[in-house]
Amino acid sequence: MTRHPNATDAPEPMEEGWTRLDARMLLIEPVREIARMAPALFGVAIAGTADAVPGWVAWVVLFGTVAVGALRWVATTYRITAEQVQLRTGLLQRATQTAPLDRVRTVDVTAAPMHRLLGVATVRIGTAASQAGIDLDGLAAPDAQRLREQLLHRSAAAGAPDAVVPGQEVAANPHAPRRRPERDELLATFRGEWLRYAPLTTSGFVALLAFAGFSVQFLEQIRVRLLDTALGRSTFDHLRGLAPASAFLEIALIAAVVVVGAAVASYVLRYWNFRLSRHPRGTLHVHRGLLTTRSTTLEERRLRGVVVVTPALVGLARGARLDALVTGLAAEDDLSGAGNVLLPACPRRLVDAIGETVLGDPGPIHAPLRAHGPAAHRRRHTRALVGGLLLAAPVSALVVVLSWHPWVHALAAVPVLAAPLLAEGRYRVLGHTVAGGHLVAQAGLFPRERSIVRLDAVIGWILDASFFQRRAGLLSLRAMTATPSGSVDVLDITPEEAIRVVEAATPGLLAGFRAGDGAVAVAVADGRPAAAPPDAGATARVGRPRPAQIQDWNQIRDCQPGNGMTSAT
Amino acid sequence: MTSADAPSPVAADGPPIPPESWPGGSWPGATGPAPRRPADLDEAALAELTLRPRHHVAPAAKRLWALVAVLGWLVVLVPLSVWILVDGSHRTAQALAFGGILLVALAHTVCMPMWRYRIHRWEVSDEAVYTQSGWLHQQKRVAPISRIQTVDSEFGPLERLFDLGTLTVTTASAAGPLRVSGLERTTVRRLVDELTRVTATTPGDAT
Repeated sequence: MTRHPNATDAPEPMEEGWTRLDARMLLIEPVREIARMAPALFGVAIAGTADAVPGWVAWVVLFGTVAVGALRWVATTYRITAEQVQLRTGLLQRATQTAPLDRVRTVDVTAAPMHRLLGVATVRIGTAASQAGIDLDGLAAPDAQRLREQLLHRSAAAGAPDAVVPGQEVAANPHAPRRRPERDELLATFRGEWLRYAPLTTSGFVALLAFAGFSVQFLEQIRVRLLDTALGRSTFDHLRGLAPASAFLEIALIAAVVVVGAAVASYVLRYWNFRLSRHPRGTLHVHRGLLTTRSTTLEERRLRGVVVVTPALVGLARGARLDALVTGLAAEDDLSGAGNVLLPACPRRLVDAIGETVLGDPGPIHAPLRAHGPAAHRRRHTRALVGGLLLAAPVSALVVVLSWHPWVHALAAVPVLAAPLLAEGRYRVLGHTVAGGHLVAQAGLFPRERSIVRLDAVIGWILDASFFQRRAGLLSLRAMTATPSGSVDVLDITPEEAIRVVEAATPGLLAGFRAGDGAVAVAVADGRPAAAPPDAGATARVGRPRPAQIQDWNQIRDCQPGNGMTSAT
Repeated sequence: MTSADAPSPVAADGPPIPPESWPGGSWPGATGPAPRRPADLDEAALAELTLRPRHHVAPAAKRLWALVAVLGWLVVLVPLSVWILVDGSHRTAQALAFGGILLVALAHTVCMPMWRYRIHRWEVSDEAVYTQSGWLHQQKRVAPISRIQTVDSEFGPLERLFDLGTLTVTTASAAGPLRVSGLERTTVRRLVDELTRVTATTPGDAT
């Protein structure tokens, strides 16, 4: 049985109900192909005008690109059956992607400006964490929304192990899923006042760098074209006529204005009409975008925590950003790389409120953190000072050797002078705790990040100590998680504190490793831990069914001939 | 809109949910009381805990590491020797370079294996796997058996010379697998078999 989302269009009779994407994509695909080949086309065009290559080559390349785009549309077909979604792509190499409908986890609908103009949208279907998604690029917009609703509804009904009836409380366990809302719950919407945080974010720099990176390819042509214009010439003469200091200031001012403008523009483009809502099926929905609209789904089952991100300037204005910690691959996003954004830069109290709602517990957001101690304090200062000297020393050496202006010395001294301030700031920000079923770790200045992860999402621990950390008596404790970053780090704590955190967060994990254990273990057939000291009352493991009999691990070791291992420490 | 007839794990007055079906139910301490805060823990109980696994790796691993170090330094010294043989003009610089690198290489090849052997340890208990490795930069890793996803063994060409192998235990985390290198081949095989058997009986998808 096949289902066609485009119920109004008669399907092209290909084998067993495969349909092509919406015909309006014939207008979009060639344009996209041209954009993809833009650098090459530009080069060919330039070469053409230089008479090195006959002009008709450029036209041939252009028509070829358009034809390739159209062929891509012809070659892409999809099919939705009762059990799965399938997509066939590829001109030369045919590939078929299949996604079982029951495994569909996220369904995102994106509409770029050209898509919106023509009334089509892209549906990205995500399944299990480790597989890439299926991209249906070019469904009619109402069909795309309908498909999204059907897929999400179906995956919820498929009976995930902890699927619950909405509105019902699930077990009095602090770690169990929280009460689900009865109906769609709107958590946050965009407000104009958020724009005051836009210039303070770093997105302006990122956008500017991206633009600079793109235009570097055409630098020569741009320079030539600019100097041809009257405006370009007059600007150039004006700059040349100024003293270096004021020219520097002018350029800095213009750069600042451009960066602020780019930041505001980038913020508006990405987060206009922002809407965060929560649905009874156990998903969070984020809708945003001005020109390109995006609807993203986040399964609460995959949610393992949040990160409150405070860029330096945004923090001064009492704002922050909220990101989600999810298992599996990071959500693909635009050039800023912000996957899984729950809230963009917005007032701090909103971030706190939404964080509490998403986590289900007010504790971690506001929990007081444990300081990391004087050793960590010293280490921050040492590192900042050494870093500053490493930056300043070569510059000063160059000034002396190459006889530059002496005021460059002052420039080189800036990192060294700023070091104590930076170190103090970084130390005060360091903190960690275990609160309300979550591990909280805070670090960093640019930006400051407070990572809050559920304790049951901690897979294991890594205790990391570099040579210098060991000499200072410190180590870094990293909680392994299934998130894209891999771990939540607690930097520079003492080994005793690390054991304390591990025991508080994952009690009983270290029970097998007790100090002063000199006895060689004896095989214990009923599976109790071998070589437990006589007073091991502290960890009574209750209720967990034992797996099949485990041989004593030391027997495996001792059975080997001539291993010569020491048995005790 | 949502299915009111989907099977629910919570019967209104039924038995409590077994621990394994909670997202965190596989933790050894999951059935105990809610996790404590670091400030509430008992000092005496904490002092008993340690992060020192018991077993060393095979002594033959020292020879393996020394061999790898020698090969690495040869990569540097051989071109240097070629340069010395071919070019006769920079004798002092060549002598300094060769002497310096040779000294560092000897120190490294002699000291590093012994240092590493003292640090590299492993232990597998009923609940968790624990490894310790490194020499300048040291790392300890611990993961519970219930969170293990795959258990792999590797026997590289140099390792086979000394009858050694590497055991790799992966979890769902991208932060890296737990690796014990320099174990005897038979130990590796037995550990792989045991761990595979144990993890097969543990429920959950370990994320």
